Amino acid sequence: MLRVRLCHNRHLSQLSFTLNGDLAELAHMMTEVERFCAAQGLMGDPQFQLTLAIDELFTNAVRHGGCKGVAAAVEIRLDAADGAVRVEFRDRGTPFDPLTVPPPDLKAPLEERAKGGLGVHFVRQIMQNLQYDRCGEWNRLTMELPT
Amino acid sequence: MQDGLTILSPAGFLDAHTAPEFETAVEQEIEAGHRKLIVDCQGLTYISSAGLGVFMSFLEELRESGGDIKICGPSPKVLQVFEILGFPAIFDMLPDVAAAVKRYAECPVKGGE
Repeated sequence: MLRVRLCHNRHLSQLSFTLNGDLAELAHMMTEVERFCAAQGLMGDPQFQLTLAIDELFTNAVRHGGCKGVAAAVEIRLDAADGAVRVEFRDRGTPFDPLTVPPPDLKAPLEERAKGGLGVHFVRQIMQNLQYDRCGEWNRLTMELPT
Repeated sequence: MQDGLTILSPAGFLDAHTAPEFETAVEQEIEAGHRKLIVDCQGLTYISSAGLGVFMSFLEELRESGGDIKICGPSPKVLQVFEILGFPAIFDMLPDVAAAVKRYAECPVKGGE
C-alpha cells in the first residue's frame, strides 16, 4: 500500500507517503523520492542523499525496530523550503532514539567492527539538524538536507 | 585474463531488499572454489549500507584463504557511499576491470604485500 499526497504552491512543496513494514517497499520509496526531487529540481546528489538516508532509517525500522510485517508502519514527509529539504520520518516500531547510537569505529580492524550502527552513521554523515522524539506510538526523527 | 579471477557485475539498486541476491551470487562463487573476486560496479546505480555489508561479510574468509575482493568501476555517487564507510582503506578500489586484473597480478591480497 502506498498513499501519496503531493501539493504545490510557489513557495512550498511537500510530499507525504506511507510504507508497509516490508523491504520490498524500498522500491516505492525510491520512486517517491525521485518524483519529489524531480518536481523540486533536485535530481543528482540531493536525490541520492535523501534516498540513502531514508533507506537506512526504513531498513533499520524493518530489520531491527519491530516494523516488519506491520501495515503502514512508516510515514515520511518531505518539505522543500528555504534552501533545504526537511524530512520527517515516523515509524510505529519499538521506542528507539537513533541519535544515542555511538559512531562506528572505522579505524578498527575488520573483525572488531560492530555490525550495527552503520545505517545511522550514514544518516548522520548526510543529514543535518537531527532531532528525535517519541510521539505516542511513533518514533519521530526530523532532519534537513541543505540544497 | 589471469587464471582464477572471477568477475561479478551487480547492476541497478543494491539495497536491503536486493542484497540477499548478490550475497547468494558471491556465496556460490566461493563454494565453487573461486577466491579471487572482482566486483565490477559499473552498472550499479545505487548502494546502501546493506549492500556494503555483503562486501564486508566475505572479506576475511577470502583473505584467509589467499583470495580477495577488488572493487572497480563505481560511479562518483556510489564511490561516495563506499567512502563514507572507509572502504578505500580496506579494499583495493580500481577504476575498471583491467586495472583490477593488473592489481591482482601485483598484489593478490590487499595488505599482504
